Amino acid sequence: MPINRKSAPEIQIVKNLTLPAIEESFLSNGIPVYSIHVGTQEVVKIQLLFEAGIWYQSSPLQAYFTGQMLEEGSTANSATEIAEKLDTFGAHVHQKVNRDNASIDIYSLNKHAAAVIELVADMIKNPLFGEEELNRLKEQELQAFLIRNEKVKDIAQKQFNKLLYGDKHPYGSTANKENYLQLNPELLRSFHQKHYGSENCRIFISGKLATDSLEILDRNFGLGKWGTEQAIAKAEFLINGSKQLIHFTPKEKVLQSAIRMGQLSIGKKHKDYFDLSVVTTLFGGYFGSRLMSNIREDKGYTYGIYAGIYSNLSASSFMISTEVGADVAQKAVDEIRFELKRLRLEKVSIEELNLVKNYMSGSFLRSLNGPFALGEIVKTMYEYDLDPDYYQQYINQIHLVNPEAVLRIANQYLNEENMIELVVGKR
Amino acid sequence: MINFTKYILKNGLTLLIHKDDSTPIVAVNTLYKVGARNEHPEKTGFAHLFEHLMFGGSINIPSFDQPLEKAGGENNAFTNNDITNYYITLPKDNIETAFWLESDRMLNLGFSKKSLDVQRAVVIEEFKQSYLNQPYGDVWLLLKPLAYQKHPYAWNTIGKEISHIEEAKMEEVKAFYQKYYNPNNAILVVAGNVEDQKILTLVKKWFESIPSGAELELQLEQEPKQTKARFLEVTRDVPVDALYKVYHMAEKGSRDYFIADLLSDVLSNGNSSRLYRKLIKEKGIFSELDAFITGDFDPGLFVFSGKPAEGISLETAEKELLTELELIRTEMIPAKELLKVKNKLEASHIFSETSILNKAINLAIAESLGDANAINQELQIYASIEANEVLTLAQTLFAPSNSSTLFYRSKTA
Repeated sequence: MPINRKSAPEIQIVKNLTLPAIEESFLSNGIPVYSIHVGTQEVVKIQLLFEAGIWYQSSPLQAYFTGQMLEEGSTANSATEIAEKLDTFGAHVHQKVNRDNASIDIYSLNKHAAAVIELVADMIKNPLFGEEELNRLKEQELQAFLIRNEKVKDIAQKQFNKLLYGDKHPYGSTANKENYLQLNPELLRSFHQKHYGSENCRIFISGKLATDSLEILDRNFGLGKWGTEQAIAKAEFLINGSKQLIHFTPKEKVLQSAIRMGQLSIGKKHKDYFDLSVVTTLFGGYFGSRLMSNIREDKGYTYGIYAGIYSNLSASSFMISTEVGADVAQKAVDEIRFELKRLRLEKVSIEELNLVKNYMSGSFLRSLNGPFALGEIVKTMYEYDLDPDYYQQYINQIHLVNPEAVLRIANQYLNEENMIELVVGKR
Repeated sequence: MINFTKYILKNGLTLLIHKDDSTPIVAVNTLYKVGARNEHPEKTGFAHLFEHLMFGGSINIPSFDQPLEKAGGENNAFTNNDITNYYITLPKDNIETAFWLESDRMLNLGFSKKSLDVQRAVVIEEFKQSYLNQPYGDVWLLLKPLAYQKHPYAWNTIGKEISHIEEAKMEEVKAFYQKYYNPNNAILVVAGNVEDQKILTLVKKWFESIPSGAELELQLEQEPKQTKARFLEVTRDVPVDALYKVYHMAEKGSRDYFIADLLSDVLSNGNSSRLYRKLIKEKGIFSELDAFITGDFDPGLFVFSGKPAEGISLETAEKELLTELELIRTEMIPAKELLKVKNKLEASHIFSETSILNKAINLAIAESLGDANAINQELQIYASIEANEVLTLAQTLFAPSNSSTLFYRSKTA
């Protein structure tokens, strides 16, 4: 049977979503639990979310180190015992502290879940913050920090956050060597007391759930109040970004320069967010994007270049990031500006726009792939307080975006003349 | 357990199909049995450069990525010492798009001059970004030729030096393709909520007319047994010293390979592992220390990589590490510790099977080593390893004469 290799097989476009049902329940003390029951393997992921991110800290590194120190010993188990037990169960626990919240993520085989949860409950409720353990951790983290500080991309990222938000704002603040040295157990203990408690906790579970999952959680987290009883007050911070737009930080002996460009932008709940997502994906959010096509695939200036919206609870930003050959840094900046301008002035073809929409709906389907990925989607939904049909709205809306809307959005949110530009290295 | 069915097409293409009805996404993985070990010593980095060229358009389809993105798909690839592996994930209904694209670039490439020029430049930027422009980036460029004197593992997949990539010529690129990119040198794996017969029909439709290439016989010069410890010292502009120590170990799939893998977990997987507990937590000798195996098809390396804590010299750090290794060479691992590591291996095996793409890639790699079903026997093998086997292996593995050591000194420290 002869086949026509020149023409593409027919394709289907994903337009409807079927998310597995999210079950909402409450532990005896009122902690909400959101669960989805999916997957083929006997494994479970449990995430405990606390309002304990960088936003709430009174000094740099406080939130991060409080999270990390939870595995360094509790009243019932030493750091060694915690490690020994977790390894024996083949379980993983990650303390992820981001700009807004802290999430304690537990991955366990179902058959060991009860014991693992008991252990983690003790870590979270009764940490010791031992001086010796803290000193060791400080030393490790400081060394890693000093190594990161040599990399143009890390230098650029830190500076760029500062330029966007100002260094008094939690999203723009950065740590220095002194901040590591000044950390002490008391500082972490007080942060823990305020921010890790039953009044400030939400739980997300995903996987092939055992019938007694909720009972186990209740036994360990649901009996009575624990931690502080005071509701967390969320402070307000003024964004005070740089008025000057063009910045350059020289660094000697580099083969590549890091480039960051961008501006403050809108968040997940803004009415234009879905449209802007389409435009930023088209511009720099997938392999075939304008930026990749021009700067990597046509010019060969870089191994990769990306652009996207970086959402947080209180403010969001648009950012372009890349590392390019040091001898072509200025040329790369010029090309980025050229592409930004083109996005605003030249109408996109229906073909290119459709490709992006299809890519995005496929990509969304991929993000539902597997029990743990689904768990992450659910967590985001509650963390950002999104509508239950938010993701269906997303799929619907991206398919409605037309070339005129792309122009409007680009002019409103992605004007290169308003953007901060930072080059670290040579130019 | 990963169930699958296997077919071999008339042109020699191996097809594996794995059904998993829990996901709307399918994974299509195409493995070519060619990696950096197949390269000529004066033309290194070729397998990897070629991976980039595979995205530059094929004989009937000018762009690989665009039609795939239009079908909601995404793809990537990696090259290592032994294989080059291409993978696609896309919504199940559009699977034929993946077959159309993969089969065309297996049939023939476009070989445009522009694509070669640009990808050469991109790979050179990758070389700079990953190996030259960051602290400790050149470690493997130093370590591999120290450990290997004959075997092609002496160079990295990115290549020995930038000039090899700069000098790659079109006719060489074409010859490389003709030799290695043939159906009889490839393994195709499809995983997802799919029916065997439908997939088989589609795969035959798109792939069976691609002509086979000459059968390849892999003849590599094997590395002679190392008889004397090797040592290299460099000074670089980095914030802290680093210590690297590598030992030659067994080839992938052999029993000794599994024992070495388990041993690397005993030493450094998790916060309760020996090296972490003793040398980082208790004694404060290192701020970071890892033990891992390279996982190569031919005899690979057992690697230690660490950064001494502030105030600790490389010499002291090395001595402390060797003391720990001496312990594992002379004393049997306690039953409890062995059981812990086996549990951990079991858990990570089960976790790895929650991803459809992981499953597809693992099947392809196991098949390229001879039998995809081997991945379903791995857990049994780990479970059967006994403490005295670990002891015996450690004795030969960590013999000083089998070691290559790199002191990577900081200019400022």
